[in-house]
Amino acid sequence: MLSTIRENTKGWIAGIILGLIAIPFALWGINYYFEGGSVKVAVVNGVDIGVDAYRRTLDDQRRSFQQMLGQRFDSRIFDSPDFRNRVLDAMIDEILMTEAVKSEGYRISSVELARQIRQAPQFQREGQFDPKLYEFMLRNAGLDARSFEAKLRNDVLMRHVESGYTQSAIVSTADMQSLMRLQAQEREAVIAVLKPARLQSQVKVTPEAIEQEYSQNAGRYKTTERVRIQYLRLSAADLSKDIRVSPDEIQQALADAAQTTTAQEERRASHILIKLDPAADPAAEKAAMSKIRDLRAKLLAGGDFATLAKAHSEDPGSARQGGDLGQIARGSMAKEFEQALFALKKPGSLSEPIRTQYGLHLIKLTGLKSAPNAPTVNRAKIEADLRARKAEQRFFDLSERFHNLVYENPDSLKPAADTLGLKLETSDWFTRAGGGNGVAANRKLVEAAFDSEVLDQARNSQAIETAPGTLVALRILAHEPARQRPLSEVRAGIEKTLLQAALQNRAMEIGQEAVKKLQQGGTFESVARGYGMDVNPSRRYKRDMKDADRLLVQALFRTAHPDQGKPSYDAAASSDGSMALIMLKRVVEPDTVSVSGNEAGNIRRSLEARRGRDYFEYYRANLRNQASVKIYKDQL
Amino acid sequence: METFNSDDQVAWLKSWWKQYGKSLLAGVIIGLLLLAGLNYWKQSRTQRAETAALLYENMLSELQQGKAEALLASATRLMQDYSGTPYAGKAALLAARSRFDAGDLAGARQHLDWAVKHAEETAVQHSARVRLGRLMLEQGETDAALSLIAVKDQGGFDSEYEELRGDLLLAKGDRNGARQAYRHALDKLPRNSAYAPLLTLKLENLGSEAKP
Repeated sequence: MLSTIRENTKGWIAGIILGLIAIPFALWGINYYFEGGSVKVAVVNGVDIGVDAYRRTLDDQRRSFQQMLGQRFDSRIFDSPDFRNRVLDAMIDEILMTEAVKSEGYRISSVELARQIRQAPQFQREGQFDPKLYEFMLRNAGLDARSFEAKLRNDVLMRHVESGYTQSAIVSTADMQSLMRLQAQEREAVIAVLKPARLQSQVKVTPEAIEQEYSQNAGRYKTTERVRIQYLRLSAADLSKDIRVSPDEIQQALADAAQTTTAQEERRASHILIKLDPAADPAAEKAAMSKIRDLRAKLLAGGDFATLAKAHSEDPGSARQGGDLGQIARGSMAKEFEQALFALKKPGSLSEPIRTQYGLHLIKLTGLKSAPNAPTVNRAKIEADLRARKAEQRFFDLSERFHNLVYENPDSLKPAADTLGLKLETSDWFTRAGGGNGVAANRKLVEAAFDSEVLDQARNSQAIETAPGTLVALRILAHEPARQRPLSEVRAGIEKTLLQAALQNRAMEIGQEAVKKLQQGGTFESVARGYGMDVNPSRRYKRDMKDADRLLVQALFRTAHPDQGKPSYDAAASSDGSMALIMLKRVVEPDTVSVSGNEAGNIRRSLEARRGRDYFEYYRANLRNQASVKIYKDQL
Repeated sequence: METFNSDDQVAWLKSWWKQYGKSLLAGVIIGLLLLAGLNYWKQSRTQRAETAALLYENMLSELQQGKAEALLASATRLMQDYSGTPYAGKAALLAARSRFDAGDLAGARQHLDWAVKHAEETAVQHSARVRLGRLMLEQGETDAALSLIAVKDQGGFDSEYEELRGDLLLAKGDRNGARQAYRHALDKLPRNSAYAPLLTLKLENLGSEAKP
């Protein structure tokens, strides 16, 4: 309580001071000098939102949307006041929530916070919390432990607030049934239709009315600003068509591919080592050799490798495992050893004695694991890859020249086209809205075309990367500003629209007259026919009917229920502009509806959201209503 | 300039101490005790909230695992021993839901009633009140529910209150009153709410107002 009063007062005094300061600013506009300093965009219960923080958030949001939307990113939306306001709103909400959570007494102990961090799977390696991984992840996200933990604490507390509402929603079967009965409702009605064309003789559009419409809504009768552009495209895909790949290069690539396939292979092996110094004398060498030959003979005669390894191998580490060395990839063993091992083809086969710097080995292949997803060596694919790689390299070489040529000759694209051998292309007309199938489908190009430097100063745009491996530069070929169309050009169109509206109005008037007559006791058929309507046979309508007019069905389901067996009446417009006279005879609702199934699921979710998530929204909205928030609009 | 010799000073100090010493000491001690007490109170309040938060976290996982009994035990502890924390009100809401899911409407109503009366946060009180009103409608106590939800300040829950009022009035056969309430509820619905079509269904089913 006390803190609110204090903060309010602070805000109040600050308000007066700011009011005073605002006078010289208004006179001389010197607030420019404070830009980026302590200028704030809003004060929320005494907490400032600085212009720096706000701009940073705005940029972050923009960037993440840009990443998400790619070339559909439309910068107009993100420069709009609406977007700016929404970002600021989110920041204000965050401050309010943080404050409320604290003052209402939500707490989490540091012990519990630490426990939650340790349990988060993203900080675990093999099911264990790994402090190094934790630090690494934080550093990657550009956070230090203190601010991350503060943020996490805040998130946990907000979850405490939110879950209380969202997890506790109560949706009863009766609740759902009443909505489902409404959804499944059917209405039995007779509908008569009046086509407006029949009223042609009853309405007239005067020249004055046309002129009035033209002058009052001048904005509607303007052409939209549009441009045509000339552009150059440098694309890796196009370059690849002109690239030659020689048979030699393909041969080399095939060989390389085969090499990598085997390089990735892993083998499991066991060995027996008889130590022999590289500088040993011939006698020692001979003794060792005869020893190992002896072992080899025993193995070939059916001796067990593991037993013999345990007994005779002089590599104590592996001897204990029966000689097993585990998985071996290329590059991890002495060269002679590797060659011998990879020469063995079938598991179970035994090598000749091999000499390395350690001594003499007998190697037994015990397992084969081929390279993970070993690519099938395919000539066509190799050639395509080779071509793409070369095109990419060429694109990379050319793109810098492209950038420079476009920039250095701002008044023409021709030098760039001639030097790089590219074709100048032209677009159709397009507006700021862009779209269509041509270049204007790309948002980046549309924005570049309407950039003031390109449009007003008739300069080249920069080289724009429209997609990976594609650069485009453009300039304006023709520009047609928005202009008022003369009345003579639009007269016919206006007349048609006005006539349509007048006919529909007249039809509605007739409809309402008819409803009155019916309510006074006229019979439906005679009243309807009296006005020249076509009467459809009586029928049962459902909400989701495909074979009935949508607007008409909506109107029918808005009509009051029949009262004590007496039908109710209504007049409504249908989508084709004709007027429908409705006689609602009966409303039929099923007694029981099944609360399982798709539709029921939708309704349950919708109700749960309303009584769960919406409650949380109301809670936030209420925080906002009670807060003192001051926004400095001119800083946005 | 006036000067004292040191004997005078000592004598003066001694007499001063005789006169005021005890009250000074007492004052200092009382002050320290107060400070310690305040500190202790603050700390124990924080500790209580932290313990309550742990219990609440347990409740959330008990809810998810469908352990209704454990959940109710935790909720009871929160409501009895930690009623000064915001977690007690939330516990009552969760417990009510759990009871309702088990078909125990009376139990659910008890918890909601507790939340209406004792929850620390007004938003929790509002949630509980609207939910309690819904259960009363389900059990046919329309008049009692109408008077329950007749509150001055709807605390941002206006749309919920008005929709429920509409449902209650409709149950009593007051179509005009219900229509007005639904219209109000629709006006107060948050922008872009996914619930708008269903609420519109309820409103439109009652026909337009222009009825003789």
